[in-house]
This record gives sequence, C-alpha cells and structure tokens, in this order.
Amino acid sequence: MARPPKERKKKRKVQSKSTAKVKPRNVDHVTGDNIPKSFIFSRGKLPSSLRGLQMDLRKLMLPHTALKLREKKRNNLKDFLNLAGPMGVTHFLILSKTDSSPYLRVARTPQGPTLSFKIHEYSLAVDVAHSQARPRCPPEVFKTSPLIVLSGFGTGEQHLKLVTIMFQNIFPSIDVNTVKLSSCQRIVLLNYDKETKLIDFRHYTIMLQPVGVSRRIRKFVQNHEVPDLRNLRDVGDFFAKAGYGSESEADDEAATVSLPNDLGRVNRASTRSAVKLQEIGPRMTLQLVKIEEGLCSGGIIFNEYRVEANGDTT
Amino acid sequence: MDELQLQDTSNHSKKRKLEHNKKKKNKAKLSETPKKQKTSKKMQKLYQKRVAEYNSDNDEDVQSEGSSGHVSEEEEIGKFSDTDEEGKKETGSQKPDTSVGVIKFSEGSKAFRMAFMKIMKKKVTEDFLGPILSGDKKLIAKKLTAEEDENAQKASRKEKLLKLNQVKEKGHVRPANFLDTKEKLLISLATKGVVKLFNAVNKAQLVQKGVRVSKSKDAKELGKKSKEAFLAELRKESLPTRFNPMTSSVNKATKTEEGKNNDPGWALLRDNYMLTSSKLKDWDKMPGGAATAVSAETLVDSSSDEE
Repeated sequence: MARPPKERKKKRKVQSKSTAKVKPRNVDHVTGDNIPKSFIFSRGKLPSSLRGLQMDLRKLMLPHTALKLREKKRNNLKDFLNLAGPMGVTHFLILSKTDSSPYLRVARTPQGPTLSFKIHEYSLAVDVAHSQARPRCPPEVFKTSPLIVLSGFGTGEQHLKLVTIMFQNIFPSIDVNTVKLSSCQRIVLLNYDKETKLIDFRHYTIMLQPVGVSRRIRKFVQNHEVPDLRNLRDVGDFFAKAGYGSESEADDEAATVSLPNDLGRVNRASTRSAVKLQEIGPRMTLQLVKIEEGLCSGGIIFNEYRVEANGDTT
Repeated sequence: MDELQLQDTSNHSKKRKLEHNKKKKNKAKLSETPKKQKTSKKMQKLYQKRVAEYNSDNDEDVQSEGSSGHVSEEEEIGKFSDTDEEGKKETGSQKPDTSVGVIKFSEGSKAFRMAFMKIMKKKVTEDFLGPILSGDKKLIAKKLTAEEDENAQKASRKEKLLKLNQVKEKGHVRPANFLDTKEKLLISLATKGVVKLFNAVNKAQLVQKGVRVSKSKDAKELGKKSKEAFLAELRKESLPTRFNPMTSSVNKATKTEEGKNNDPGWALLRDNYMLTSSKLKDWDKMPGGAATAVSAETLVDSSSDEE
C-alpha cells in the first residue's frame, strides 16, 4: 500500500485492516464508558533493549493501542497530542533514558496529570521466556485487554491513590455481570512495597485446569494425544493408575474456582478448576519519582526528592 | 679453427637456445644445485677445470676470459667431438646486452661474492631485532611504535564501548531460571486476585442465570397466554360452558410454581383426570366442537408438559 509518509505516521493496526477486522469501538457497549486507548512511544534515542521494552509494553496494552505507531525524530509531544484528540486516545506512556536510568511517564491526555517513574530494573519478554522451561504465549491471548490487580496501595497516601486511579483507568473496566470468563486471559499485577517504595510490575497469562482429574486424562483430552497403552493390560488401568499429582496441586485449595460455564473442553461448569498463572511479558521495578499537574508540564504535585527549605533532601 | 668454430656455432645455436632457458632457470635457482642428469661428464670436467683456474684477483679478465672461454670451450668440445645436446654452456648469450635478466654466470657469481663479503665484514650488532638484511632500522622502529599506538587506541576504544554498553544496558536484568520466593509471592497475589474476580463473576452470573431462566419462563408464559387466548376464542364458539374451567386451570398453570398445590395446572395431576370426561360429556351432541376442544386441550397440556 503506497501511502504518503505523513499518513503512515498515523497508521494504526486498525486502519490497515479495517475491512478484515472489526474496529474497536470508542465506547464500550456494556458499560457505556469510553474505552481508554493509549499511545506508547519514546522521547530521545533509546538503546535496543529499551526499544524491546517499548514493543513489549505495546503488546501488553493490546488491543487498545497502536502496535505499529511510527515516530520520527522531529515529532514533538504536540504532534502526538494532535493525533490523540480525533482518535480518542486517552493515555500516553512515554519511555526515555538518561545516563542514570530509564524513565517511564504515564500521562493522561489532553491535560491530565503525569506520573514519572524511574525504572530500576526491567526484563524483556524474551528474557522471561528464556528463563522458563515451557514458555507459552499463544497469540490469541492478546485479543482481549488484561485485568489489573493492584496490591499494597492501600496505605492511604494521596499520591498512591492517584497512581491507583490512573492505572485503573488505563485498562478498560469489566462488568462483572456480563463478562465472559474466556475473555479474561491476561493479568497485570502492580505490587507496592512500603519499605522500599518500589512498585513491581508483572504480566501473566491465566490458565484454568480442572482439579481432581488425573494428569493423564487431562492431557489426553486437552491435547488429543493418543496415549501409549503398550504396558497396560487393560484400558481400565489407564484411568485407574494412581498418578500422584504435582506438588503444587496440594496447596491450591484457595486457588480453585467453580466456573459458571464450560470453558474449553476440559473445564466444566460447577466443577472446581484451578487457576494457574504463567508469566509472559516484561517485568519492571518502578519507583514513583514525580507527579505533575499537566502533561509533562505544570505544577509538581508530588516529588520523591523533595528539597526542604533549608536544603535537606528527603 | 675458424671453420670448426663456425661449425660448432651452427651446431650449438640450437643448444644455446636450450641453454638460454636453462640458464634463466639456473639464475632463478641460484641456491639449488644444478641438475646433475643434464650435465654430461665432459661438461663436468670442464667445470672442474674452470674452478681450478678461477682466480678472483683477475676480475677484469673474466670478461675477456669469458669470450675467450667461448672459444676454448668450443675447442675443447670440438676436441672431444661430442655432440651433446645437453651441452651446458655457461654463457647465456654472446651479446651481453640482450636482456636484463640474463647475465653471465661469472659476473653473477662475482656480484654475489661481493655482496657476501660485505655482509660478512659488517659487525653483528647485538640488537634485539637481529641481523636485518633490508631496510633501515629507523623504519622498523617507526613501524613498531605505530603498531603499539594502534593497539593502545584499540584498547581504549574497547573500554569506551564497554562503558557505553554498561550505561545503555543499565537496569536490564535477565531473570533467573528458577522461581525465587519473591516471584512466588507475586504469583500467589495475582492468583488470589483472579480467584476473587472469578468468584464474583460466578456469583453474579449464576444469579443472573436463575433470573434469566425465570424470565424466560415468563416469556414462555406470555407466549402461551397469547396462544391460550387464541384457542379460547376458538373454543368460545364451540364450547362456551366448558371453557371456563379449562381456562382457569390453564391460568393457574401460568402462575409461578407456588400455585401448584390447590389445583395442579398439569392435567395429569388433577383428580378427575381421565375419570370424568366432562369435556367429552356431550361429545355425541357436538362432535366437531368436542374434537376441537380435545385437540386444543391436548395441545395446551402438551405445552404445559414441556414446562
């Protein structure tokens, strides 16, 4: 498709496949709220690993983000703001790098507050996949937006409240009455540690496994693999063989749910299923540094390194 | 003598061409021993004789000797009356200025000797570089210093790159292969959150299911009601008297499940099921109407059965 370069700047995945896919709506037809959309881009030149982090963050925010957003050197924040208006983009996630460390800014357009986080540590999705024995990342997992779990933010401090509100608004809300459990496939966890004041950011996929079913039967039904019956004298032995469950099944009583509907072939309604999470996606350790009133401008509401009148730093 | 010479020259012209090539080869491989197969015994003797005659002091006479050597050689060869094709003549050509690469053997040997003596005369310096056959020592020194500089530059560049990479990758951490306690804690937190959510969804949706079911029941009843009304209209014309108990029972069936006790809507549960054929009381009188009433009733009953 030969499009002029200017148009390509605005090109989003949606526009390129408007005939094949259904366009994501601006308004959620269930809750009636606007679906929040985000742009993730960088300011300044980023090294390759941070560009990988940017890509991972974009995948994380799918489907309500521009996966293939192209940015040029000469684009300012103003350009992005101008685009954001007509497209209904509500949040910006901006990555930048200084000599000391990379920074992540989360801002609400058009004039909302900006949270600045310092990234102490990060790991890319490929690093996480390398560290696992069986990495699993099916692509259909990215078709629905993730759930968000915030923990440890309940200390009551004002800036933490703002952080929670901001993150809750980035992801579209779900209606408990109408949501289909099969569409909740990813979860983002943000855990605040009071002592170190660091926020852990993790991204998992949700998998449901029926409980009380022996491993062999489960695998047989799930994977459609024909089992090896060479050593058995009777088919009944296949079912009756006492296979000890994996050690993690024992302490999972709290992690079982009973589903209202059938999910896939294996999980049936009104039987207990275990919830299993597997990590994908980037891993970050963030520290809240600054909150500004405007979009990367305006008065500073909160500053981690507040300088007192007599010159002491806190 | 001259004739002999001429004859010999004519004989030897071809040989000389051969010898040209061989001389060239020999000049190139000065260090190698000449091929013994090719030198005949006569020629060897000739060479030995010349070696014995050789006097380095008579350098100037070599040339004249060379030319005279020609004649003497030929004379000797003529003496032996040998027509060896492989006669090795030392002199490549009678004309010394034909080609640069071809010089007289005697001249070549002289030059070599001079060079050799010069080298031997030179003092052996105790430099670490060792005896150098070519080049200026200064040049070598320059080269070495240049190499050192280059190495130093490379090392500094590498250091810079390393530092840059460190700065670039600052904060980039590769996760461990195992799940340590912190990660396990986080996973359990997330799991708890998911379980809470799923239970809430479960609750909400099961309740909904129940409501929906009853809602759907009402919808069915509504549909039925309309059907009943239609059928009632039908029956009205045919069985006006029997219409009321039927409709009343059906109406009761359309009420919620609580109203089952008094008068079961389901025809089966009524006490007078099949016993009192009140509907068919007057069947002989009104066959068509009864038939329609019965058919309507069976229709209604069957639909209530489906409930």
